[in-house]
Amino acid sequence: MAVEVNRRSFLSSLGVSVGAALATAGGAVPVVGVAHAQDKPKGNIPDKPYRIGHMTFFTGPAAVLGEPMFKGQQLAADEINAAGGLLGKRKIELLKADENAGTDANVKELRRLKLSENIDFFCGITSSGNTPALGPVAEELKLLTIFVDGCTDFLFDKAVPNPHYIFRITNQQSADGVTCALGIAQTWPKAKRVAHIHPDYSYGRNAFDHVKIVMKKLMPPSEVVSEGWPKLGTTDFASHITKAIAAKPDLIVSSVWGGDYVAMYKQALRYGMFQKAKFASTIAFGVAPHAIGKDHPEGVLAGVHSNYHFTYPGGDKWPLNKTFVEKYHAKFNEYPNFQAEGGYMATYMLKTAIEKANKIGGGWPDDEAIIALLEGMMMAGPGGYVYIRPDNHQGYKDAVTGFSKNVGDYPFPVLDPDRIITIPIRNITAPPGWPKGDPTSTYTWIDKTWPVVKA
Amino acid sequence: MFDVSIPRALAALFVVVGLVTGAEAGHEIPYYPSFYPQEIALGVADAAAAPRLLAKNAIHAYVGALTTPNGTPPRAWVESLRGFVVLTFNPASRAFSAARERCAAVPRLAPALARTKGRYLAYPYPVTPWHDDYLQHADLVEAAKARAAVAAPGPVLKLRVGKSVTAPAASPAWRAADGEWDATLEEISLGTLLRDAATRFNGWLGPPWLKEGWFHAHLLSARAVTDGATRSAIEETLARRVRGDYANAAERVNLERRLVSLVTRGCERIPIAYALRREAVNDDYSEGVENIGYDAQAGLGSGVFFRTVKLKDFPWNGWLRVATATRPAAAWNPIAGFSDEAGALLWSVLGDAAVLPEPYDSGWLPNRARAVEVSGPVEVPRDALAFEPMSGAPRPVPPGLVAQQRVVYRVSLSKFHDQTKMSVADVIYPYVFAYRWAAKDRQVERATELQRDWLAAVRMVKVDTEIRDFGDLQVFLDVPVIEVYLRHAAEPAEAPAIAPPWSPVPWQLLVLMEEAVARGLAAFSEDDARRRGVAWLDLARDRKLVDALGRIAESFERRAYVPESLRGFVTVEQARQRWAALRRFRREHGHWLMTSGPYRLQKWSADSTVLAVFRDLSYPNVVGSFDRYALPLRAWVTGVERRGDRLELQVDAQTLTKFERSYKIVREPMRPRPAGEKVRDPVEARWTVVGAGDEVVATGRTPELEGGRLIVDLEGTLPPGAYRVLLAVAINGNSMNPEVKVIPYRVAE
Repeated sequence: MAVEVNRRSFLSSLGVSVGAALATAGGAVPVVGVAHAQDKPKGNIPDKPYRIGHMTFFTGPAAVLGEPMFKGQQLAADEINAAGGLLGKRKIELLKADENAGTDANVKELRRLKLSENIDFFCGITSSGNTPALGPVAEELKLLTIFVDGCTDFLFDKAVPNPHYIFRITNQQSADGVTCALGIAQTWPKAKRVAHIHPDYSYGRNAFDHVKIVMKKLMPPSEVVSEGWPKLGTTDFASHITKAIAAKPDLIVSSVWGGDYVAMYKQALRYGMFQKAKFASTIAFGVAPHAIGKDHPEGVLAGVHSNYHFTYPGGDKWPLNKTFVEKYHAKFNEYPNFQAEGGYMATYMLKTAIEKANKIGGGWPDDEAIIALLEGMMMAGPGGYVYIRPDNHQGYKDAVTGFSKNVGDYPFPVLDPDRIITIPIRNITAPPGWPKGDPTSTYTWIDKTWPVVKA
Repeated sequence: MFDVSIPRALAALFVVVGLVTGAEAGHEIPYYPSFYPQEIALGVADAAAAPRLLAKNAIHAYVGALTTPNGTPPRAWVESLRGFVVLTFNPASRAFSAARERCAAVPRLAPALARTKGRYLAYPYPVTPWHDDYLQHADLVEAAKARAAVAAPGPVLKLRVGKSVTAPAASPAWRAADGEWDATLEEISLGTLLRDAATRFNGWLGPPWLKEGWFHAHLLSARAVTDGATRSAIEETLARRVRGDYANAAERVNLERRLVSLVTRGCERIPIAYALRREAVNDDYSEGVENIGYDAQAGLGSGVFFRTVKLKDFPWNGWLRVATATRPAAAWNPIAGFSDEAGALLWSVLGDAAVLPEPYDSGWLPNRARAVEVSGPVEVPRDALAFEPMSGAPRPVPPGLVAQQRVVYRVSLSKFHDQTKMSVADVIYPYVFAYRWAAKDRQVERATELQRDWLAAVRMVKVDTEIRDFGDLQVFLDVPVIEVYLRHAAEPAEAPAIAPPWSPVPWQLLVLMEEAVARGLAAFSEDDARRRGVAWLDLARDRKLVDALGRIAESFERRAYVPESLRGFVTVEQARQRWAALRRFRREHGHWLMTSGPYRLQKWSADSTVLAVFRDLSYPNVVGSFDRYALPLRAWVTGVERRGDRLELQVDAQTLTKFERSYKIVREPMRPRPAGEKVRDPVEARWTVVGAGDEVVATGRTPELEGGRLIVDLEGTLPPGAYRVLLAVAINGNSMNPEVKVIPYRVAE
């Protein structure tokens, strides 16, 4: 017999919280930054530069997401180099490659970077279309790699189910839909009639699937009253907006992103959509923060790809974020997005693994030692703690979402600092050992294990 | 009739596929075909009203010079060459009948021009810093300036001052003409200068030397030359230059310098200044625009502006509002319409040319037709097609035909706005059309003269499939490979613009227009319309004609009409589908102005035109494709060190840093390119060596070497003697307004 579970208590058991602040990083957990310089390295350390190949979008529309990733890594590399380099000796040299060249060209470029440029480490990647292609190649080349994004569940579910050389540190894609749906359940639990507007390709379908499965469990009376699937490149969202409004929904959910999202919200303003229904997005604020206009409606659930927004943790509550944002802004005159935080974090996780390995074995550690120390690493960064699961090399950090608000400090809207929603990531992703599932392991895990709650 | 010698394999060329397949991936799709905005509205505003509209964020840019109160400059603007101030002597003037007197009068006007409050820059030479070939003339410019600085006494000039020029203050050197006159002072805008010399025909732009200073010099002054022998020399020099009748680059430059010398030495018509155009853009933090590209000579009124401009409030998409000074008065047809400035601007978005002028240089950018090989001379293969002079009918070439040049193109096909797929028939038919109508319409004859004179044959080679794989999104593009054989050899940079295989409109629309003209319903050109007393063919705004075209199209659809010259290229069924789709398009959109460009004519009135994006995934140019032409950067030679036969250059270069919705440009010494870094604007040294007799002995371009070094290697290039080396550097192809360094150089015996 099924046990009846109350929604509030189940959300509480998942750890969904509003306005929570992180505890200060404990002494046992390494933190980003070079202020906590390590002990004198053991053994003989070569002074040969450590070459990192960084591939992300420097051109094309995705550059608004991708380029900050490079800047994040550049900031970390500059800090480390200013302190003498990795283990005080090896200066980091960054080699840029434009991900916009297309998947085939990117695979060739990765090979070239390894075989001709002799890179020691590969980092970056924005597109989920690229990680499943580049992951197997990096494994084949035995090239130590941390993907910053390219967040498809497919990478570790299917393309490289047993990774050795490759890691990834941003939350995987399924977390987007789940985080959004939990935010909805927490905020508007009474919403029954739900309209969806998602881009008609895999990301939109993934978001739809995961929002729907969570709502099926946590808001069982809810029903999908409208589905809009704008084609890629659509600029006229009027028909999707009017269709959604006509269905008289309590709530509209969308995963339209970037420039398309901006076009959609501006058109929705004309139709009064935000007055007629609540609105929730998986990724509205996932682009570079300044890309969103001041006219953006306030109070909507504005997702950040479930990863990071520079205003959280805010103020002095989490010095690692305050310092990171200040340094990033001072260097680039803009605010970081989740990719910038990812690039920064990846570099420091690498540095930490190298330092730990040196402490154990002395000298410059080989990749196997670095990999061993990356596996299971927990580290405090600007956005909180990141944990790398040893079984699948996937990084996990608590999911974040929040509500849009214009505040005087910025020329663009940010997440309302008083209403940030955080969710422990382990509670919304399939646990180790869970069978690979379709469409994702997380989906089947939620479907099979989460109770249907009582309102 | 088209015979069976056309290879059956051609049938395979007709299919164009724009497939999109799904795979596992995420949200980061880097493929948004079109320019940045989702909608472009072109309006009309008086120059005096424009500053207010910009301040209210009602418009994002104003194409045309502004009138600002008290001459206050706009907050953000771009500068480009507007035109020349020209002194044209009256052949009947007795006081100035001799070249010596005419030329001596020029320096006497300079002080008066200097008092025009910066409206003009006194400059006594027709090749300006806003021309790509300025470097090759820099020594002659300095010599002309030196001559112009020495004012010898002479007769007072009785001057007619044209309305187009702001009159300089009267000076002892001249007085206003009252009856008899010695010379006219006028401003000749580039638009006026090029009105009858530029090619704007369907998807062809030209001529290839459209932006060159020597060409402008010829247009400005050649017709005024009175001496018969000089005129003959001018025409002979011009013919040698444009037909590639020279042995090397130095000889080509000498021909160009000689041409300028020939047209100006008699001073019958001589430039004495040039004018810049300053056009405003709205750079408001939130509601303005960024990423602005423009043309060194056309300014914002160029294709590159719309291909780069981005609204600050949108990562991509957005509603762009641009105003122009004049209403589009010329008829809207792609053959000999869109001939006014507002129309040309509209067509630059709607029409999508084969190649586009390099914005800050004089070459050509591939847009829809990419020249991948220029070679020759070669024998033309037997399966190539030549076009009959009167009918345009394609025929196999005769055996043994030799072409001086072969240009191999890869053509990017896509969908038309009626969702039909482009085919090879569409890009071949403009050749047929050009030959057929040249004899019937003087405007078509003039616009296609160069193509017809040069074109020897066209050969379809194969259709490649290009796959653009973005993981989640795989775009399959069919790309025909087409060889174009030319009778003459052009500069490799110029050859792609001569006769590219391309049409932005489908063959059936060309056929429909032909039928309308053949039936006497309209004429392609304004001149022909006036001569025949019929309407100037307008595919959108002439309701009567639009309806009449509907009846013709209906009859063509019933017959599944295929013109004789396309038999073998188009099946009956394909033709029926094309005609049906075209008629459906007209029913849905109310006009026939259908293209394969990324914008569709959505609505129009007397004062505005709205273009809506047409995001067809088979369109080859995506958002950001032209970003490298936004915000042109500059570089300077700061030092030169001679090491043996090599000159090693020290260079300052601008770097661009973008942040949020703004940017910063900083000049700094050029540093070595970081190892492996691929995203950086290339820097290039451009040099010309001039001998003691003012002849060019060598010229070239040297790309940046490893380690950020620029080296001009003259080893084995020069015989013993004294030379001057003219040096400039260009970053990302920007040769606008360069600083030229002149280095004395001696080669010992």
